[in-house]
Amino acid sequence: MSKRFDYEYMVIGAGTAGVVAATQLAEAGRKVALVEQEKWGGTGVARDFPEKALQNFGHTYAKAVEASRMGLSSANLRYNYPTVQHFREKVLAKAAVTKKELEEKGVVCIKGQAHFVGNYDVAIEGQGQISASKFLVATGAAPASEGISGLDTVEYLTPKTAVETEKPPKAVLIVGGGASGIETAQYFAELGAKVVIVEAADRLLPNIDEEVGQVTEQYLAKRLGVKVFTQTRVVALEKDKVSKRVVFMRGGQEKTVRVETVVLATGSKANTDLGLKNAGVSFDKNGIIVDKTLQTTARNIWAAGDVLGGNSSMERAEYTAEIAVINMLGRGKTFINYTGFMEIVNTSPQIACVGTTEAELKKKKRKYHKTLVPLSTTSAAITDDFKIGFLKLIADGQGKLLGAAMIGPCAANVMQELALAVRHNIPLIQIASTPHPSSEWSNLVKIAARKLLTAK
Amino acid sequence: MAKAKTERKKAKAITFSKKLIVKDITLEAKILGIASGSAEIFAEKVAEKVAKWAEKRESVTEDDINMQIAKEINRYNKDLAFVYKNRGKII
Repeated sequence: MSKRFDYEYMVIGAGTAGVVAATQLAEAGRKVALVEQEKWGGTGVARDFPEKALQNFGHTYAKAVEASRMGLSSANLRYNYPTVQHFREKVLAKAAVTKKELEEKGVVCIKGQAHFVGNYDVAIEGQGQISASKFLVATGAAPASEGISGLDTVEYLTPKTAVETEKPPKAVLIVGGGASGIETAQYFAELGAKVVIVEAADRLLPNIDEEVGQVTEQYLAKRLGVKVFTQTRVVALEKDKVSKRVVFMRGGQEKTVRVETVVLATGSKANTDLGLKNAGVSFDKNGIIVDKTLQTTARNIWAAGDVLGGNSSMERAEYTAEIAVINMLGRGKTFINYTGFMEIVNTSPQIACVGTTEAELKKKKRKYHKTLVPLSTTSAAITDDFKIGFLKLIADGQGKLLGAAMIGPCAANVMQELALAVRHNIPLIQIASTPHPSSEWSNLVKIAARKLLTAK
Repeated sequence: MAKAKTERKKAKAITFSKKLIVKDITLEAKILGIASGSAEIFAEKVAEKVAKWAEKRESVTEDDINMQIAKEINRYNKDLAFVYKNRGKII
């Protein structure tokens, strides 16, 4: 390595993408430094694992309460919230990435906030200026909160901090009807809270197929008593001596409601405030601008993970980190391909989708065929005593699967086969002719594929 | 064909001063014809926010300070925010 630089490689951000990249670079025998200002492992571990663990607890509790129809005596069913929080901490401890583990793999760990002062130089809080030949920016994203005033004076929770409260609130207003908003809403509703969701779009889950949002809203309303206000935009949070107030616009009118707890689930914004301009790295409101090899506008700097914008998931962060590392090491050019990545909403019933939505195809004026198969068409609905949901498939005229969406038990596992089909262009006829266990939810895939092929 | 080497560029780090920021903002506000009284008030608030932002950073450049001022000043005066966002570009 040239004596001009302190390190060959520097990875900024020790979230999922940063840890994967730094580890792979170290395993390739390179001198790599990993810089992190907060927690090693980042929000991927600190947020996703505990959130999912507690959401699963909520679903289990709710199912147990409903299981009286199966013969379970659940009249006196209770939960102990401190024990629930202890479970969350255990999950976090097991999933956490430690500095020691990283150093054992050959990664030099540096704690501090990094800020580019040039294209090869970074100033790190408490460490002075450090240089590297190549950089990977993996600084992730943080909760977005633009357009709402009062956030610096009124306390609010985020989907991450919502699962860390000492006791569940009695009443909560969730701002944002996307995936994390709905997951949080269901979690609190299952624990007995009164929940209201406020969403600016005309339905819940506006980025997923329309039918999924409709079924979700009906389920949340009828089963859990969740109130949903769509086409409603929160403009301010206020606080007085009594409680918090949420100011929102609905039907052109400004209205106010008093709440105990507010959860802001309005999506996330890429963390780009690290002097990128000094390094010649371009970015916009979505995130850092990269080419298909994840190289930025600075030739020696790449980016990976949530800082790129787009859907956030640990698997996507891992994938982008792997692609960036291959290209940084100069082992030929590998291009990014997001086809086949699922979007999963950890509600109960679970939601999973892959590929294109019907709305996107309509927008592009592309011809397609679709089918929607309710859960009740498969015997798993009888044995599991659950019928709310469906599987939707969208294909082109040549029998190629373009997209799929499911709301139902084990949706993510059922969807995996369709993700494979979307990514690798496996024709529907092959899916339809593959044996599927008739007593499992995956049988829906065969039923839907056959229905789509025969209905022309 | 050999790839062109990227030239190593390093921006000059500057000494951060809240007083200088307040002075700079009030001067720019005066040029734009903004009332000096209100300019002084929001200049202090902006300088405070920028100081807080710069606290954790080992080194910052003049461009960084200008971008941060632009971001904070936007809620008070959009024209002034435009000036700071485009400093060095306006002829």
